Amino acid sequence: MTRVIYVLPLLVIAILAYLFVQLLLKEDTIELINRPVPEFSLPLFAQEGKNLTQKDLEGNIAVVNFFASWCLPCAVEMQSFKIMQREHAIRIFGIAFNNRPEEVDIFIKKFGNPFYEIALDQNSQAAPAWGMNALPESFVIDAKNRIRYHHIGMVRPEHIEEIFLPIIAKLKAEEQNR
Amino acid sequence: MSRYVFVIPTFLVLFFRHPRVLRRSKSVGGLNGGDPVKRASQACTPHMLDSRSAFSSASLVGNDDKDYWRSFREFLSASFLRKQESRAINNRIPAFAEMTALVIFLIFTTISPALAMTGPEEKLSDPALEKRARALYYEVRCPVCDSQSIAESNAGISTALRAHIRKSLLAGQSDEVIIAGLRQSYGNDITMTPPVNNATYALWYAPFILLIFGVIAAFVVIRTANRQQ
Repeated sequence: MTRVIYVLPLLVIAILAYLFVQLLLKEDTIELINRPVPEFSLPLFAQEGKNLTQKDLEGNIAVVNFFASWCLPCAVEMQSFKIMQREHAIRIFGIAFNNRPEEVDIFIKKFGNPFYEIALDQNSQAAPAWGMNALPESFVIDAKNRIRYHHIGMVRPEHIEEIFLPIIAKLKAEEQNR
Repeated sequence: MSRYVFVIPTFLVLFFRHPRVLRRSKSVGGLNGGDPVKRASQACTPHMLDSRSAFSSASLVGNDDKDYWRSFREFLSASFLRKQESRAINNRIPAFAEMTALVIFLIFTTISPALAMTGPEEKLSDPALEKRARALYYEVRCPVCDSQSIAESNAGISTALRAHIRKSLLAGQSDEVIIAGLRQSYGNDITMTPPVNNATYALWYAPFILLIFGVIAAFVVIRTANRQQ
Protein backbone atom coordinates (compact mmCIF):
# COMPACT_ATOMS: atom_id res chain seq x y z
CA MET A 1 0.00 0.00 0.00
CA THR A 2 2.80 2.42 0.97
CA ARG A 3 4.57 1.66 -2.30
CA VAL A 4 1.43 2.49 -4.25
CA ILE A 5 1.22 5.85 -2.48
CA TYR A 6 4.78 6.67 -3.53
CA VAL A 7 4.37 5.46 -7.11
CA LEU A 8 0.98 7.06 -7.77
CA PRO A 9 2.20 10.72 -7.94
CA LEU A 10 4.99 9.68 -10.27
CA LEU A 11 2.48 7.88 -12.45
CA VAL A 12 0.18 10.91 -12.56
CA ILE A 13 3.09 13.23 -13.38
CA ALA A 14 4.23 10.85 -16.14
CA ILE A 15 0.72 10.76 -17.65
CA LEU A 16 0.42 14.54 -17.49
CA ALA A 17 3.89 14.99 -19.00
CA TYR A 18 2.90 12.66 -21.84
CA LEU A 19 -0.31 14.62 -22.47
CA PHE A 20 1.57 17.94 -22.45
CA VAL A 21 4.18 16.65 -24.89
CA GLN A 22 1.40 15.38 -27.16
CA LEU A 23 -0.23 18.80 -26.94
CA LEU A 24 3.00 20.55 -27.85
CA LEU A 25 3.80 18.21 -30.71
CA LYS A 26 0.32 18.35 -32.14
CA GLU A 27 0.09 20.80 -35.00
CA ASP A 28 -2.61 23.38 -34.56
CA THR A 29 -5.39 22.53 -36.94
CA ILE A 30 -5.81 25.88 -38.58
CA GLU A 31 -8.65 25.65 -41.02
CA LEU A 32 -7.02 28.19 -43.28
CA ILE A 33 -5.63 25.51 -45.56
CA ASN A 34 -8.18 24.18 -48.05
CA ARG A 35 -10.48 27.04 -47.11
CA PRO A 36 -11.85 29.35 -49.82
CA VAL A 37 -9.98 32.62 -50.21
CA PRO A 38 -11.55 35.12 -47.78
CA GLU A 39 -13.73 37.80 -49.25
CA PHE A 40 -11.92 41.05 -49.81
CA SER A 41 -12.02 44.08 -52.03
CA LEU A 42 -8.92 46.26 -52.14
CA PRO A 43 -8.02 49.15 -54.45
CA LEU A 44 -5.51 48.28 -57.13
CA PHE A 45 -2.23 50.08 -57.25
CA ALA A 46 -1.93 52.58 -60.14
CA GLN A 47 -5.40 51.71 -61.45
CA GLU A 48 -7.73 54.43 -60.35
CA GLY A 49 -11.18 53.21 -59.29
CA LYS A 50 -10.45 49.51 -59.80
CA ASN A 51 -10.45 46.92 -57.05
CA LEU A 52 -8.97 43.47 -56.59
CA THR A 53 -11.42 40.96 -55.15
CA GLN A 54 -11.25 37.24 -54.36
CA LYS A 55 -13.06 36.57 -57.64
CA ASP A 56 -10.13 37.98 -59.62
CA LEU A 57 -7.94 35.19 -58.27
CA GLU A 58 -10.24 32.43 -59.52
CA GLY A 59 -9.41 30.24 -62.48
CA ASN A 60 -5.65 30.16 -62.12
CA ILE A 61 -3.14 28.77 -59.73
CA ALA A 62 -1.64 31.84 -58.14
CA VAL A 63 0.60 33.08 -55.38
CA VAL A 64 -0.63 35.87 -53.12
CA ASN A 65 2.12 37.75 -51.31
CA PHE A 66 1.62 40.17 -48.44
CA PHE A 67 4.44 42.69 -48.41
CA ALA A 68 5.25 46.24 -47.29
CA SER A 69 7.75 48.85 -48.38
CA TRP A 70 9.21 49.05 -44.86
CA CYS A 71 9.81 45.30 -44.64
CA LEU A 72 13.36 44.27 -45.49
CA PRO A 73 12.72 40.52 -46.05
CA CYS A 74 9.92 41.56 -48.44
CA ALA A 75 12.48 43.46 -50.50
CA VAL A 76 14.88 40.50 -50.45
CA GLU A 77 12.24 37.98 -51.55
CA MET A 78 11.38 40.04 -54.63
CA GLN A 79 14.32 38.27 -56.26
CA SER A 80 12.61 34.90 -55.74
CA PHE A 81 9.30 36.18 -57.07
CA LYS A 82 11.02 37.56 -60.15
CA ILE A 83 12.41 34.07 -60.80
CA MET A 84 8.95 32.53 -60.26
CA GLN A 85 7.32 34.99 -62.60
CA ARG A 86 10.00 35.02 -65.30
CA GLU A 87 11.10 31.38 -65.40
CA HIS A 88 7.99 29.53 -64.26
CA ALA A 89 5.24 31.88 -65.41
CA ILE A 90 3.56 31.86 -62.01
CA ARG A 91 0.94 34.51 -61.46
CA ILE A 92 1.77 36.48 -58.33
CA PHE A 93 -0.59 38.94 -56.68
CA GLY A 94 0.90 41.42 -54.24
CA ILE A 95 -1.02 42.90 -51.32
CA ALA A 96 0.75 45.92 -49.86
CA PHE A 97 0.06 45.95 -46.13
CA ASN A 98 -0.35 49.42 -44.55
CA ASN A 99 1.32 51.16 -47.47
CA ARG A 100 0.43 54.27 -49.40
CA PRO A 101 0.58 54.13 -53.23
CA GLU A 102 3.65 56.39 -53.35
CA GLU A 103 5.50 54.05 -50.97
CA VAL A 104 4.65 51.05 -53.16
CA ASP A 105 5.81 53.01 -56.19
CA ILE A 106 9.23 53.65 -54.63
CA PHE A 107 9.45 49.99 -53.53
CA ILE A 108 8.81 48.47 -56.95
CA LYS A 109 11.07 50.98 -58.68
CA LYS A 110 13.86 49.97 -56.32
CA PHE A 111 13.36 46.20 -56.07
CA GLY A 112 11.45 45.37 -59.26
CA ASN A 113 7.85 44.37 -59.87
CA PRO A 114 7.20 40.64 -60.21
CA PHE A 115 3.47 41.09 -59.51
CA TYR A 116 0.60 40.46 -61.86
CA GLU A 117 -1.45 42.94 -59.83
CA ILE A 118 -0.81 44.90 -56.64
CA ALA A 119 -3.64 45.70 -54.22
CA LEU A 120 -3.40 48.21 -51.40
CA ASP A 121 -4.46 47.06 -47.94
CA GLN A 122 -4.03 50.51 -46.46
CA ASN A 123 -6.39 50.05 -43.54
CA SER A 124 -5.32 46.45 -42.91
CA GLN A 125 -8.77 45.17 -43.82
CA ALA A 126 -7.71 41.95 -45.51
CA ALA A 127 -4.81 40.72 -43.38
CA PRO A 128 -6.76 39.29 -40.36
CA ALA A 129 -9.04 37.18 -42.56
CA TRP A 130 -5.95 35.69 -44.23
CA GLY A 131 -4.50 34.79 -40.85
CA MET A 132 -1.49 36.98 -41.40
CA ASN A 133 1.06 37.09 -38.58
CA ALA A 134 4.10 39.04 -39.70
CA LEU A 135 5.42 40.15 -43.05
CA PRO A 136 6.25 38.71 -45.47
CA GLU A 137 3.71 35.93 -45.95
CA SER A 138 2.69 34.12 -49.11
CA PHE A 139 -0.20 31.85 -50.04
CA VAL A 140 -0.63 29.42 -52.90
CA ILE A 141 -4.17 29.50 -54.29
CA ASP A 142 -5.62 26.78 -56.50
CA ALA A 143 -7.81 27.38 -59.54
CA LYS A 144 -10.92 26.87 -57.44
CA ASN A 145 -9.88 29.76 -55.23
CA ARG A 146 -8.90 27.76 -52.19
CA ILE A 147 -5.83 28.41 -50.04
CA ARG A 148 -3.55 25.39 -50.39
CA TYR A 149 -0.32 26.55 -48.81
CA HIS A 150 0.69 29.25 -46.34
CA HIS A 151 4.33 30.33 -46.32
CA ILE A 152 5.36 32.37 -43.31
CA GLY A 153 8.51 34.42 -43.78
CA MET A 154 10.76 35.20 -46.69
CA VAL A 155 10.58 33.09 -49.85
CA ARG A 156 14.19 32.18 -50.59
CA PRO A 157 15.29 31.16 -54.10
CA GLU A 158 15.70 27.54 -52.94
CA HIS A 159 12.08 27.52 -51.71
CA ILE A 160 10.91 27.80 -55.31
CA GLU A 161 12.23 24.35 -56.23
CA GLU A 162 11.77 22.79 -52.84
CA ILE A 163 8.30 24.04 -51.90
CA PHE A 164 6.44 26.14 -54.45
CA LEU A 165 7.01 24.19 -57.67
CA PRO A 166 6.05 20.79 -56.18
CA ILE A 167 2.84 22.27 -54.72
CA ILE A 168 1.96 23.99 -57.97
CA ALA A 169 2.70 20.78 -59.93
CA LYS A 170 0.41 18.87 -57.57
CA LEU A 171 -2.37 21.42 -58.02
CA LYS A 172 -1.98 21.28 -61.79
CA ALA A 173 -2.20 17.49 -61.68
CA GLU A 174 -5.35 17.71 -59.53
CA GLU A 175 -6.88 20.09 -62.04
CA GLN A 176 -6.09 17.81 -64.98
CA ASN A 177 -7.57 14.79 -63.22
CA ARG A 178 -10.91 16.51 -62.76
CA MET B 1 -8.67 42.24 -11.95
CA SER B 2 -8.14 38.64 -10.88
CA ARG B 3 -4.53 39.41 -9.96
CA TYR B 4 -5.79 41.54 -7.06
CA VAL B 5 -7.39 38.44 -5.58
CA PHE B 6 -3.85 37.21 -4.93
CA VAL B 7 -2.12 40.52 -4.40
CA ILE B 8 -4.39 42.07 -1.76
CA PRO B 9 -4.28 39.07 0.65
CA THR B 10 -0.50 38.86 0.07
CA PHE B 11 -0.17 42.52 0.95
CA LEU B 12 -2.33 42.14 4.06
CA VAL B 13 -0.39 39.09 5.24
CA LEU B 14 2.94 40.83 4.68
CA PHE B 15 1.69 43.94 6.42
CA PHE B 16 0.29 42.23 9.49
CA ARG B 17 3.29 39.94 9.80
CA HIS B 18 5.61 42.92 9.81
CA PRO B 19 7.51 43.15 13.11
CA ARG B 20 6.56 46.79 13.62
CA VAL B 21 2.89 46.06 13.15
CA LEU B 22 3.07 43.06 15.41
CA ARG B 23 4.93 45.06 18.02
CA ARG B 24 2.32 47.79 17.89
CA SER B 25 -0.54 45.39 18.30
CA LYS B 26 1.31 43.91 21.23
CA SER B 27 1.64 47.37 22.76
CA VAL B 28 -2.06 47.95 22.33
CA GLY B 29 -2.62 44.66 24.09
CA GLY B 30 -1.14 46.12 27.28
CA LEU B 31 2.38 44.76 27.04
CA ASN B 32 3.94 48.15 26.47
CA GLY B 33 7.22 49.15 27.99
CA GLY B 34 10.59 47.49 28.35
CA ASP B 35 13.35 47.21 25.79
CA PRO B 36 12.09 47.98 22.24
CA VAL B 37 14.60 45.59 20.67
CA LYS B 38 13.49 42.82 22.97
CA ARG B 39 9.85 43.66 22.25
CA ALA B 40 10.44 43.50 18.51
CA SER B 41 12.19 40.20 18.90
CA GLN B 42 9.37 38.82 20.98
CA ALA B 43 6.81 40.18 18.59
CA CYS B 44 7.85 37.94 15.76
CA THR B 45 8.27 34.66 17.53
CA PRO B 46 6.04 31.93 16.16
CA HIS B 47 4.13 31.86 19.40
CA MET B 48 3.17 35.55 19.20
CA LEU B 49 2.39 35.27 15.53
CA ASP B 50 0.08 32.43 16.35
CA SER B 51 -2.09 34.61 18.55
CA ARG B 52 -1.99 37.69 16.33
CA SER B 53 -2.13 36.47 12.76
CA ALA B 54 -5.19 35.62 10.74
CA PHE B 55 -3.98 32.03 10.62
CA SER B 56 -5.08 31.30 14.11
CA SER B 57 -4.74 27.64 14.95
CA ALA B 58 -8.24 27.59 16.41
CA SER B 59 -9.70 28.72 13.11
CA LEU B 60 -8.07 25.86 11.23
CA VAL B 61 -8.78 22.89 13.46
CA GLY B 62 -10.10 22.14 16.89
CA ASN B 63 -8.06 23.02 19.98
CA ASP B 64 -6.96 19.39 20.39
CA ASP B 65 -4.84 19.64 17.30
CA LYS B 66 -3.55 23.09 18.18
CA ASP B 67 -0.01 22.01 19.01
CA TYR B 68 0.20 19.82 15.97
CA TRP B 69 -0.73 22.64 13.58
CA ARG B 70 1.44 25.12 15.43
CA SER B 71 4.49 22.91 15.05
CA PHE B 72 3.73 22.46 11.38
CA ARG B 73 3.43 26.19 10.83
CA GLU B 74 6.55 26.91 12.84
CA PHE B 75 8.43 24.42 10.75
CA LEU B 76 7.30 26.10 7.51
CA SER B 77 7.89 29.67 8.60
CA ALA B 78 10.98 29.29 10.75
CA SER B 79 13.46 30.76 8.28
CA PHE B 80 11.15 33.58 7.29
CA LEU B 81 10.56 34.55 10.90
CA ARG B 82 14.25 34.40 11.73
CA LYS B 83 14.88 36.89 8.96
CA GLN B 84 12.19 39.16 10.28
CA GLU B 85 13.54 38.96 13.79
CA SER B 86 17.01 39.98 12.77
CA ARG B 87 15.59 42.81 10.69
CA ALA B 88 13.50 44.06 13.58
CA ILE B 89 16.45 43.84 15.94
CA ASN B 90 18.71 45.72 13.59
CA ASN B 91 15.87 48.21 13.15
CA ARG B 92 17.70 50.00 10.39
CA ILE B 93 14.82 50.53 8.00
CA PRO B 94 11.70 52.15 9.40
CA ALA B 95 8.54 50.12 8.89
CA PHE B 96 6.94 52.98 7.01
CA ALA B 97 9.73 53.04 4.41
CA GLU B 98 9.55 49.29 4.02
CA MET B 99 5.82 49.31 3.54
CA THR B 100 6.06 52.24 1.08
CA ALA B 101 8.60 50.24 -0.93
CA LEU B 102 6.25 47.26 -0.83
CA VAL B 103 3.31 49.36 -2.02
CA ILE B 104 5.38 50.80 -4.88
CA PHE B 105 6.52 47.30 -5.80
CA LEU B 106 2.94 46.03 -5.83
CA ILE B 107 1.76 48.99 -7.89
CA PHE B 108 4.43 48.35 -10.52
CA THR B 109 3.84 44.62 -10.61
CA THR B 110 0.07 44.71 -10.70
CA ILE B 111 -0.75 47.81 -12.68
CA SER B 112 -2.38 47.08 -16.03
CA PRO B 113 -0.06 47.63 -18.97
CA ALA B 114 -0.73 50.82 -20.88
CA LEU B 115 -3.04 50.37 -23.79
CA ALA B 116 -1.29 50.36 -27.13
CA MET B 117 -4.14 52.06 -28.96
CA THR B 118 -3.84 55.78 -28.61
CA GLY B 119 -5.27 57.53 -31.66
CA PRO B 120 -8.85 58.79 -31.76
CA GLU B 121 -9.39 56.64 -34.85
CA GLU B 122 -9.03 53.64 -32.54
CA LYS B 123 -12.09 54.61 -30.54
CA LEU B 124 -15.67 53.70 -31.32
CA SER B 125 -18.25 56.41 -30.83
CA ASP B 126 -20.74 54.04 -29.19
CA PRO B 127 -19.57 53.47 -25.58
CA ALA B 128 -21.18 50.02 -25.40
CA LEU B 129 -19.37 48.89 -28.55
CA GLU B 130 -16.14 50.46 -27.33
CA LYS B 131 -16.45 48.49 -24.08
CA ARG B 132 -16.95 45.24 -26.01
CA ALA B 133 -14.08 46.12 -28.35
CA ARG B 134 -11.72 46.66 -25.41
CA ALA B 135 -12.74 43.37 -23.83
CA LEU B 136 -12.02 41.63 -27.13
CA TYR B 137 -8.65 43.39 -27.49
CA TYR B 138 -7.63 41.83 -24.17
CA GLU B 139 -8.96 38.44 -25.21
CA VAL B 140 -7.11 38.29 -28.55
CA ARG B 141 -3.43 37.43 -28.48
CA CYS B 142 -0.91 39.32 -30.58
CA PRO B 143 0.31 36.61 -33.00
CA VAL B 144 3.87 37.91 -33.11
CA CYS B 145 4.40 38.91 -29.46
CA ASP B 146 5.20 36.95 -26.32
CA SER B 147 2.14 36.65 -24.09
CA GLN B 148 0.75 40.02 -25.06
CA SER B 149 -2.78 40.78 -26.05
CA ILE B 150 -3.46 43.04 -29.00
CA ALA B 151 -4.55 45.70 -26.48
CA GLU B 152 -0.97 45.97 -25.25
CA SER B 153 0.86 45.53 -28.53
CA ASN B 154 1.90 48.07 -31.12
CA ALA B 155 2.80 45.46 -33.74
CA GLY B 156 1.33 46.10 -37.18
CA ILE B 157 -0.77 42.96 -37.07
CA SER B 158 -2.19 43.94 -33.65
CA THR B 159 -3.31 47.26 -35.10
CA ALA B 160 -4.84 45.34 -37.98
CA LEU B 161 -6.62 42.94 -35.65
CA ARG B 162 -8.00 45.79 -33.55
CA ALA B 163 -9.28 47.45 -36.73
CA HIS B 164 -10.80 44.11 -37.79
CA ILE B 165 -12.59 43.77 -34.43
CA ARG B 166 -13.96 47.32 -34.63
CA LYS B 167 -15.15 46.73 -38.17
CA SER B 168 -16.81 43.44 -37.19
CA LEU B 169 -18.52 45.05 -34.18
CA LEU B 170 -19.83 47.88 -36.34
CA ALA B 171 -21.14 45.26 -38.77
CA GLY B 172 -23.22 43.84 -35.89
CA GLN B 173 -21.26 40.64 -35.30
CA SER B 174 -21.36 39.05 -31.86
CA ASP B 175 -18.20 38.58 -29.78
CA GLU B 176 -18.43 34.82 -30.27
CA VAL B 177 -18.60 35.12 -34.05
CA ILE B 178 -15.61 37.48 -34.11
CA ILE B 179 -13.53 35.12 -31.96
CA ALA B 180 -14.63 32.10 -34.01
CA GLY B 181 -13.59 33.88 -37.21
CA LEU B 182 -10.16 34.69 -35.79
CA ARG B 183 -9.75 31.10 -34.56
CA GLN B 184 -10.50 29.91 -38.06
CA SER B 185 -7.73 32.09 -39.49
CA TYR B 186 -5.17 31.82 -36.71
CA GLY B 187 -6.05 28.70 -34.76
CA ASN B 188 -6.81 28.38 -31.05
CA ASP B 189 -3.64 30.22 -30.08
CA ILE B 190 -5.19 33.53 -31.09
CA THR B 191 -7.10 33.82 -27.81
CA MET B 192 -5.41 34.48 -24.48
CA THR B 193 -7.49 31.71 -22.87
CA PRO B 194 -7.46 28.49 -24.87
CA PRO B 195 -10.84 26.80 -25.37
CA VAL B 196 -11.71 23.74 -23.29
CA ASN B 197 -11.68 20.78 -25.66
CA ASN B 198 -10.10 17.33 -26.06
CA ALA B 199 -6.74 18.87 -26.91
CA THR B 200 -6.66 21.21 -23.91
CA TYR B 201 -8.14 19.12 -21.09
CA ALA B 202 -4.66 18.40 -19.72
CA LEU B 203 -3.81 22.09 -19.84
CA TRP B 204 -6.92 23.12 -17.93
CA TYR B 205 -7.22 20.37 -15.35
CA ALA B 206 -3.61 19.33 -14.69
CA PRO B 207 -3.02 22.09 -12.09
CA PHE B 208 -6.03 20.91 -10.07
CA ILE B 209 -4.95 17.28 -10.28
CA LEU B 210 -1.44 18.23 -9.17
CA LEU B 211 -2.86 20.35 -6.37
CA ILE B 212 -4.95 17.44 -5.09
CA PHE B 213 -1.92 15.17 -5.18
CA GLY B 214 0.16 17.85 -3.47
CA VAL B 215 -2.36 18.14 -0.65
CA ILE B 216 -2.54 14.34 -0.29
CA ALA B 217 1.26 14.09 -0.29
CA ALA B 218 1.57 16.86 2.33
CA PHE B 219 -1.07 15.17 4.48
CA VAL B 220 0.69 11.79 4.28
CA VAL B 221 4.10 13.32 5.07
CA ILE B 222 2.78 15.33 8.02
CA ARG B 223 0.83 12.40 9.41
CA THR B 224 3.85 10.11 9.14
CA ALA B 225 6.07 12.70 10.82
CA ASN B 226 3.50 13.18 13.54
CA ARG B 227 3.22 9.45 14.21
CA GLN B 228 7.00 9.14 14.42
CA GLN B 229 7.06 11.93 17.00
